[in-house]
Formats: sequence, structure tokens, C-alpha cells
Amino acid sequence: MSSFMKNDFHHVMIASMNDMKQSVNLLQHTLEKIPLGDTEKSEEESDLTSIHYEVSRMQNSIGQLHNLYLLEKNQLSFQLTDAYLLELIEEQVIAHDVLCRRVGVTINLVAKHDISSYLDVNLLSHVLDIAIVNAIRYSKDTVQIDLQKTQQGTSIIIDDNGRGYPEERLEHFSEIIKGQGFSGLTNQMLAWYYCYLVASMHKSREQQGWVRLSNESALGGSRFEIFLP
Amino acid sequence: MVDINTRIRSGPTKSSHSYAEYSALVADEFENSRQSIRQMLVALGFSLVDQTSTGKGVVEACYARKYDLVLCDFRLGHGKNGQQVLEELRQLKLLKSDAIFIVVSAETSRDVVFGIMESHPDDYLSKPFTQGVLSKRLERLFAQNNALVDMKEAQAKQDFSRLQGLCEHHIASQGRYSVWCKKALVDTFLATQSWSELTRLCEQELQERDIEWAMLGMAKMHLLQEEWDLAIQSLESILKSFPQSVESYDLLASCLQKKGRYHKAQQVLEEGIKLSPLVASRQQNMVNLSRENGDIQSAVKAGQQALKLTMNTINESPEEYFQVVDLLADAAVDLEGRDRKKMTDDALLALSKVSKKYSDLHEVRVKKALSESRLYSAQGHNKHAQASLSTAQALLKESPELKTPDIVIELGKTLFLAGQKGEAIQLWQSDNLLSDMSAEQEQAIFDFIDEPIPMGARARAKSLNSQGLNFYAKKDYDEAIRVFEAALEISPNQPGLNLNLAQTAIKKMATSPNKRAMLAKCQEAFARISHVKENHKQFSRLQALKNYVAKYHQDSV
Repeated sequence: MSSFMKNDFHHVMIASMNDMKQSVNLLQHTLEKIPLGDTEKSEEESDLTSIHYEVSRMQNSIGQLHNLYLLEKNQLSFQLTDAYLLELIEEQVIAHDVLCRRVGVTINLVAKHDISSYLDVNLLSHVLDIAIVNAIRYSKDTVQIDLQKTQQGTSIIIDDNGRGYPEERLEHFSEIIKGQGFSGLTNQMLAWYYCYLVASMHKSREQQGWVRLSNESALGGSRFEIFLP
Repeated sequence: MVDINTRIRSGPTKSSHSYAEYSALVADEFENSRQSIRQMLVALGFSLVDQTSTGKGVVEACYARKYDLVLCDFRLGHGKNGQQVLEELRQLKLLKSDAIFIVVSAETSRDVVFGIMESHPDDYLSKPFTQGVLSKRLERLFAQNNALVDMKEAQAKQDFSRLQGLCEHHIASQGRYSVWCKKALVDTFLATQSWSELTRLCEQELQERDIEWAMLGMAKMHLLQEEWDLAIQSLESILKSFPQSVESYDLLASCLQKKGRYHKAQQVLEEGIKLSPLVASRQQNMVNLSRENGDIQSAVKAGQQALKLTMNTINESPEEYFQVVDLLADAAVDLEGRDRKKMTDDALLALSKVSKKYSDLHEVRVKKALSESRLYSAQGHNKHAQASLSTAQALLKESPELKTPDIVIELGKTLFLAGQKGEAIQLWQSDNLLSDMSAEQEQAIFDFIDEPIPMGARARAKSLNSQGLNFYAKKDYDEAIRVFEAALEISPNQPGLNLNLAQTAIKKMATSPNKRAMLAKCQEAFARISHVKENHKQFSRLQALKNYVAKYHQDSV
């Protein structure tokens, strides 16, 4: 590699990632415009569904890689502002509405009241995006999102009615957040770790945010819970 | 209860808001992106959606039409970026008070995100987004606009009592935009100096957790009350909780400057620049601070950034080019070989750019010639320096109306550096200039005559001076004299330095067997600063020392 590239690799990364984002965005926009088929799924239709799902996943992976890279370089922006959680969740649900309809998944918001929280809007939206796309992928047909306010802070809980996480995946996650077990890291595990990092950047005095994965879903599948102080 | 499911499932492509009467402008460098956003807006019912690919295009379009919505990408080719476009539209008052300006960006790098945030758009939308998301966002923004319309009007008219009433009412009724109202109240209390109300509001907010805007409110109060230590303390504690609070770095740097802690101030501002470098005023503050500290390399870097950030915007001015040229000229003196050549070439390039860009302005032609002459003088190219100086003088002869105080100051400095010291002083004294000059302009001349040397040399003299003061404090007068004299070799006419030497020599006289030599040192020092007259800030100190020496002389005779 030329010395120019070595010294300026930062720009190489940023330019490439922006380009990847741009092209995946266009793909997604095109997919949104393709009309949904009838209830009976043709082969073409189910190909489209997997393309749509993969594009959504790709979008999140690129964003995640980009942000982890910036975090590593100590250049990730982190700005806390007051925001309504239902607004953020609503946006994410809407963003995946076409995908949901394609795969036949309904997302229910069971929260009774909106809660204002102090958080980094861009990072939290991205975490919700990752968790929701994953829940859509593994649920049978329903995803449920709830908010819980406690004295210490707020939790967002995303449940699905799929088969739940395999035990070894839950173990691997708990090792990773202890800073162990990075070998054999899958992209999925990396995504959960990224969510955990974003949560833990949110601090208030002695409190710190966290992410918990479990099979305690109210719908009998897996549960993703993020806590923000 | 929030019936959110029905709202979402009612279909993301349809919006509850009608945009039939609304016009929008989409700005994006890429045709594909532009088209897809345009299609979304058309589908949402906007009656008119214009598009453009450049910042210049946005400004032109906003001259022609008052849009209800502008969706502007941050990256817009080589001209202005989205942040600069917004700043310019505000300055030119080309946006309706209820227009919504959204910056769109695919970038999450911090400098870009911060730059965008600091220009305070109505919203920031990160790519990618779907039509459904855009629809929700717009619905929310227009609803917020509606709810806050009276507050925003009161804010624009600076009708603080009305704004306070409206905000307090909204907060009391637990309105959705209470946080917006609380922030508006903080600004109101700061503007009306209602310190007890401000303290009450912020302290209440801070009971449960640290909140940046509430902590900043308190810090700004201390700052306005000129309680620098308290302000410094509060800002430092904000930065502990919010290490990316860029406004706190700016404020902390200015407090430290007030306390005379220039080096620390520069370090703090450097942190702020690391976080958010794309703000021209911050870079200009850096130029001023590093100048104060004699840190010529930082001054050059910040000066070049400031120029780059205002280039192609309405805030671009020839002064920024000349600032960069002067800084580069000063920096080049300290370098050798290729580095020196590079700086000089950069300076010449900036001069050629400014004269091309402002070729119709006589004033710029004069300043360019003067700046060029100083650059050559600094390099020791006397012939070139003289040629440029003559060009400037000829231009001034042609158009005497250009002899403004600013230009005469520049001309004097240029003469001085070209070795025509007498002519310079005469010019400054003769031109009936002093009456037309502002206090700052007068001070600028004094500062220049005190120390007409490059910034790097000034910094070295300053550092020797503080070493000398240390020896003086330890009563090691011999060492102090040695170090002050070394400093004077670099900066012979600096009044403070000369007076420090004289004062030390006087102390030494008490014990020295060679009183004559010490007296001579004092007389020489006084002679070197014969330019210090009644209106100079060191005059009274000079008089006091002169009197002391005269009395001593008399007594010993």
C-alpha cells in the first residue's frame, strides 16, 4: 500500500462506507416501491422477501461497522438530547413496514404512555433498527414492543414469538459483555455487542445503560431489552 | 393512552397532514437521491417540489421563492455544504419564519454531525430513510411548529415577558414541548438577567440527573456575572459528564483567557476544534489565541481552516486571505529549505487568489501589494519588497481616498519592515490620522512599534522574559540581567522587557560595586523605548523608573 493510502486510510474508509450506504439506500428505496404480492407467495415474491431482509440487514451492518470504526478512532459523535421514545420506535416500525408486510409480521406497540428520555437519538435509533430487524427475522408472525419506566431510568423491550435464542448464544453474549470470548465472533453477536456498547455509553451519575438478551419474551420467543438511565 | 398502532397501521404513505398548499426544495448532489426524495414529497402531496444539486442553487431558489420546506444534503459538491447554506439563508433572511429546514446526511463522522448540529437546523435526517419515516418526521415538525408558533414569534421579537408567560403555561399544562420551553426560558432568563429564576429552573432540572443545557445555563450565568472562577468550575464539571459538549470548550477557553491563562485556554480550544472543526468562528478564535501564545504553526493551521470554511460563502472576505498571508510570512521565517519554500508559495498563491477574486476592488489591490511587500521583506528579498511597496504607493497616489486608517496602518508597517522606519513613524504621526483612529487601531500601531518582529521571535523573547522574571523573584539579579539582555537581542524595543531590565539594574545597583555600569544599562534601556509617549500603557512605569534613576544619579553626585 502506498504511504499516501496508509496515512489517509481514514478517508478511504469514510468514502467507501458512504458509497455503500448510498447504494444500499437506493436498493431499499427501489424495494419499497415494488408492489406487494397477493397472500399466496410466488417464488419470485419469496426471493424479493429475502432480498428485502438482506438489504435491511446490510444497511445495519454498514452503519454498525462505520460507527464501531469511528468509536475505535475516538471520533464517534455522542450527543444527548431529550427525545420521546415512542417517536423513535414509531419511526423504526414505519421504516420496516414494507418488510413486515412482505414477511407477514405484525409489530404491536403495547406501551400505554410515551416517555421522554435523555439519549443520543442517532445511536439509539440504530440500535432499535438492529433489534427490530432481528426480531422480524426470527418471529413467527408477531413482535411486541413495550416501554417501562423505573426510578433509575427507562427500558425498551422488544419481544418476538419465535423459537427464542439458543442457550449457547445467550452464554456467548454474556461472555462478550464481560470482555471475553471475542474469538469466533459472528456478525450477529457483533451487532448485539454494538448495541450493548451504545447502551453503556449512556450514563447518569452512578447509573449506566445496558442490553440484556433472554428468552423471557411475553410472546414466548426471544427478548431484547435495552435500559437507559 | 397513545393509540400508536392505529397511527402506524393507518398506512405510512398517507399523512394526516395536508401539504397541498406547500412548496418544497430538495438539494442533493446525486441525481438518484434527489429524484427519490422528490418522489416521496410528491407522493405526500406537496404541490410543488423544486430541486437543485448545489448550495448556490439552494440560495438562488430561495431568492425566487419562499419555501415551506427545504431538504438539503450536507454534501453538495465543491461549493457550500448544507451547514453553510443554512447559515447563509438565515443571514440573508431568505427563509420564512415558519419554514422547516432539514439537513440530510449519510455521514455519521463527528465533525460533520457537530457542524450540522451547531448550525441548528429544524431537524437532521440521517440517510437512509423511507417515505414513511419522512412522512412521520414532517408531520411531527409541522405539528411542533404549530404548537410553538406564538413562542417563536415572541422569541423573534425578543418579547421576553410574553415568551416567559407562554412557556410557563405550556410547561404547567405538561405540554409535549416542555423541554423546548425550558430551554427557551433559560435563554430568556439569561437575556433579562433574572438570576434567581434561572437558578431555580436549572437546579430543579438537575435534581435527578445531569442535563447539559441546564448545566450550561448555570455556567453562562456565572460568565455573564464575570465570576470567572465559578464559570470555570461549572464548565469543567459539564465536560466531566459531557466530554463532547463543544460549547463548553468554547466558553471555558474564553473564561481562561479572561483570567490570563492563555496557554490553558488554547489547549481547551484545541479540544473543541478536535470535536467540531467545521465552524469558522471557532477557527478564528484559535488564530487569535495562538497568536497571543506565539504559536505560529497553530495560528497558520487555524487561519487556513477559517479561510477554507468561509470561502464561497457570503462571509468570505479579502481580510481572511491577508490574515493567512501574514501568518504564513511569519511562519516561514522560522523554517528552512523546502518547508520555508512551501509556506512562501502558499502565501503567494493566496495573494494571487485574492487579487483574482476581488480584481474589481482597488482597496484589495493596494492591500495585496502591501502584503506581498511584507512577505518579501520577511524573506530578505529587499528588491522585490521595494517593488511591491512602490506599486502600493502608486495606487494610493492614484486614489487618495483609499488612505483609510486601516490602509495607513498597513502602509506604515510595510514601510517599517522594508527598512524605512523613519518614514513609517512620520506617516503615522503626520497624516492627521490619530484623530480618525479607533482606540484599537491606535493600540495596533503601538503594539507593532513595540515589537516589529515575527510571531515566533516574539514568543521566544516572551519566554526569556518570564525566565528573567523568575530569577528576579529569586533575587538572582545577575542571571535576570543576563536573560533579559538575551531577550532584548531578539526584541530590542519591547517596553516591558526594557523596563524589566532597568528595574533589575536598579536593584543590582544597591549592592554592586560598579554602579556606573548599571546606570548605563538603565539609560540604554530608556533610549531603546523612546517611542513610549504619554498615551502608551507603559508610560507611567517608564516615568517612575526614570525618576528613580535621576534621583539616584543626583544623590550619588
